[in-house]
Amino acid sequence: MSTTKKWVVTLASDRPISEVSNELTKTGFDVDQVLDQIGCITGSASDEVVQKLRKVPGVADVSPESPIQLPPSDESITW
Amino acid sequence: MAKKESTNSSNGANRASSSVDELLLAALERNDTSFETGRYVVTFKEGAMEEGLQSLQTQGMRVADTRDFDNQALEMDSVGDADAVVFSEIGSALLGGNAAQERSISTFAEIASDSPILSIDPEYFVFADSMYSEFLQGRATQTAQGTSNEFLRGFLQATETIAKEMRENGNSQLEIEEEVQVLGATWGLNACRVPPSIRSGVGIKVAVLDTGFDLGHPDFAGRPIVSQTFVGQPVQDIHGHGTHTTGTACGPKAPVGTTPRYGIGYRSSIYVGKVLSNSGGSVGSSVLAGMNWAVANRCAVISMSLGGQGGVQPSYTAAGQAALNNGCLIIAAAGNVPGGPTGYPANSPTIMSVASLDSNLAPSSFSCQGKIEIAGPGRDVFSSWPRPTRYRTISGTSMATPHVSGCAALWAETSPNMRGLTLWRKLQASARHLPFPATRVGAGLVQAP
Repeated sequence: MSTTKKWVVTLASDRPISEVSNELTKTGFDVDQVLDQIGCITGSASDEVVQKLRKVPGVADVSPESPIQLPPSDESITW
Repeated sequence: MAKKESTNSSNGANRASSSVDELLLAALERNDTSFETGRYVVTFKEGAMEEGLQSLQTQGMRVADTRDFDNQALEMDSVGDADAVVFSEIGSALLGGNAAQERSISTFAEIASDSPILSIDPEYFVFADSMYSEFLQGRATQTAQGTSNEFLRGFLQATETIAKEMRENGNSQLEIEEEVQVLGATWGLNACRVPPSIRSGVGIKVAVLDTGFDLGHPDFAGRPIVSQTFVGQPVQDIHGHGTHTTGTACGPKAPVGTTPRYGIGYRSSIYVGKVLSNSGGSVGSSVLAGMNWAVANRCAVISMSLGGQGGVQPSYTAAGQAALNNGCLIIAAAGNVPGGPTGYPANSPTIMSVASLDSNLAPSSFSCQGKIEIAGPGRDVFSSWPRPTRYRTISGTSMATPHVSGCAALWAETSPNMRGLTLWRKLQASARHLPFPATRVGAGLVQAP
C-alpha cells in the first residue's frame, strides 16, 4: 500500500474540465483545486490511483507537485 | 475613438508628407495630448518587406519607396501626395492617417497570422532633447537657405528613429541616444532605456507571483493593488523577495526623497499573487493557482521570479499556452545555477525565460543557460523592500525578470494588439543585441519602447 502524495493533473483541451474532474474523483483522486483557466487539477492520490488517472480520457499528464524554494531572505543572490 | 475620427477633418493634416508643423497644428486643433501624430508606423515581418509593400499597393495606396531616391535619401517634399512612405532598409512604412483609416488600418485592427505585417503602431511626436539638439546642430551647420527642407529632413530622421527602434536588431539604436545620461535611476532602468520612454504601463495589468508585497510601502501610497494569497498567509510580504520584484516591475516614477527611480510600469495595474510563503517556499500547486488567477484576470504580463531545478513540467507548459491564448504573457526567471540549465517554469516552451546581466552587460556568473529568450539587469539591483528596511540591493535572474516584465507592460501599452505571442516577439525584436551566445542572453537586453 503506497502512501498518498500530491499530484498535478494536466488536461488535454478536448474535454470539459468539470467532466474530467468528476471522473478523477470517481477514480479515487482527492481533488484539491480545479484550475479551469490553465487546464490543471491538483489533488492527492496513491501511486496505484495515479496509474488509473493517466488512463482517464482528457488527461494529458499526471506529475508530482514540483516544489519551489527561494533562498532565505538574507541571502544576496535569490532564485 | 472620437480622437481618431476627428483626424478625418479636412484641416487635420496627417499625410505621409505632412510637415511636423502641420502635424503639430492638427494635433492642437483636435486637442490631442496623446503625442500621436495621427499617422501610423507599420512594421513588416522579417523577410516580408516586398510582400508588405505589395499589400499596401493592393489596397490602392500610392507608395513612395526610399529605394527610388539617390542613396535612399528620401526628400519629403518629393513624396507629394503619396499615402505611404516605405523605408525599405528597415522593413517598415509610414502611413498617412486618413489613407490608413480609409482602409481600416489602425492600431486596433486585427492582424491576420499570415499577414506580412508584424505590428501597426501610432507614430509619436518626439521631443527628446537628444533628437532636438541633433536637429538644431544639423541646422546650424547649414546656410540659412532651405530651412524648411532641413526641418523636414530633421523630422524624417525622427521618424526613422521611431521605425528603427521597432526593427529586429537592437544594434540600430542611434548613437546619439547612447550619450543620453539619465540621472536618478538605477543602472538597470538606464540599461533598459526606461527613463526616456513616454510609456507608463497605464491600463496594463501586471501580475507578480511571488512572496507577496508590503502593502503599506510609502512608495506605493495611493496605488490601487489587487492582491490574493494562495499559501494561507496574508499577502503582506515578510520575506521581501516579492516586494523587491514588484518594485522593479511596477514601482513609482519618482520615489520619495532622493531615492533613485527603480520601477518601470509606474502606472500599471498591480496584481500581487502570494504564491510563495514567507519562508519563500511552495509545493507547486499554489504557484499554479496563482497562474490560474492571473490568467483569469487577463493580466497582460505575468511575472514569475521563481522556479526549481528539473525538467519541463507539462502543467506549466499548459498554463503558458493558456496565457498566450488569452492575451497574457508569462515571463519567468531562468534560475541561478552557475552552468546549470534553465529551471522550471521558465524551461517551458510557452513561457518566456529571462537570463541575468551584470552592469557591464555581460551574463551574470550565476545565470542559468540553455533555453533563454531574453536578458535583463539582474546583478546588484536596487528596489523596494518591506518596511522598515524600505530598499535593498540584491541579485538574481529573479531581479532580471521584473525588468523584462516592466518593459513588457510599457510595450503592451503601445497597442491593444501587443499581447501574448505578439508581445513576446516584440520584446525579442526590440532587444539590444549582445555579443554572447543566445543560450546565455537570448535575443539580448530588453529595451523599453
